Amino acid sequence: MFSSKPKDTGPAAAPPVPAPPPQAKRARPLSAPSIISADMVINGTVTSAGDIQIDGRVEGDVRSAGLVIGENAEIHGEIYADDVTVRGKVLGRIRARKVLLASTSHVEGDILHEAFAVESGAFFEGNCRHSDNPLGEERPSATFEPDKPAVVFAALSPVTG
Amino acid sequence: MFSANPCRTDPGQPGDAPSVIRGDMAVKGELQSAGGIRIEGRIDGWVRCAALVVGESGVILGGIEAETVTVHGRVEGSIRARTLVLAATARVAGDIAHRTLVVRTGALIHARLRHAADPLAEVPPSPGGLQSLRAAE
Repeated sequence: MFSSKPKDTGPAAAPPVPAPPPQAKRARPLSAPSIISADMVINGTVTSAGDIQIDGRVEGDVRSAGLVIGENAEIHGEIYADDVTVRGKVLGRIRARKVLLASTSHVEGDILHEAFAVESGAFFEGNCRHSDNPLGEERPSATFEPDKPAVVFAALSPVTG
Repeated sequence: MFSANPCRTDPGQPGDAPSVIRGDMAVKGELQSAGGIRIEGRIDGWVRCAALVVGESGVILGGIEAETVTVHGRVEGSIRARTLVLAATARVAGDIAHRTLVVRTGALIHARLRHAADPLAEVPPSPGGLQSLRAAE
């Protein structure tokens, strides 16, 4: 792509610096997303290298690049994705680079994220923790024990007796 | 940074456009829908819906129960449909019960085909039917 340019601008010219690619974020296929429409129920595991729009119900885990959970959608299972937008209901853990809980969302479960946003009105019950590599961490539950928050508080309070 | 997600953002309603499983998607388990489904990806399991289209890159290993089924891709297992269309690129193996059947020239069929007045009302065939067929290959 650089060969068509006239290059002999003189020795004082700055060395050519390659311009950053327009989509430096991630090489995601730009095809249309898979769609689980409102009248559909899936019992099982869903995986996609691309994007998924879920308006129906999934009983099982979902793995994808981009994921949008529609307002009337319901997911009972773990979510593992690059980019998740939740407008509906999720019961289960979410692990994603970017997580957006929209105002209509209802999430019960832990969230492991790199970037996290919550709109006013969202329902969220669970623990959320930042990670530089939420998809790479092997077992987040090993260091992330929502059932034992008392340990943290016990360390802060003076020991009596 | 949260605006880059290219998926549709309006809430879906029943009776909307059919569900679409694209080529980059796979499901292990059971799919059920009162509407239509188009499958370009891979399903390991059962699909039950009103209208099903298996696209050319679509693969279903398991079974299908639907009013209308059009196969352009590959299906291994049981198919029960009131109307079944096997397109020229279809590759089908297993056990088929149908009321109306259309087969285009070029479709590869390795299956037991059986007419039934109402295939959806029958009890599902035992998986042994497919296994014995595979063992015979």
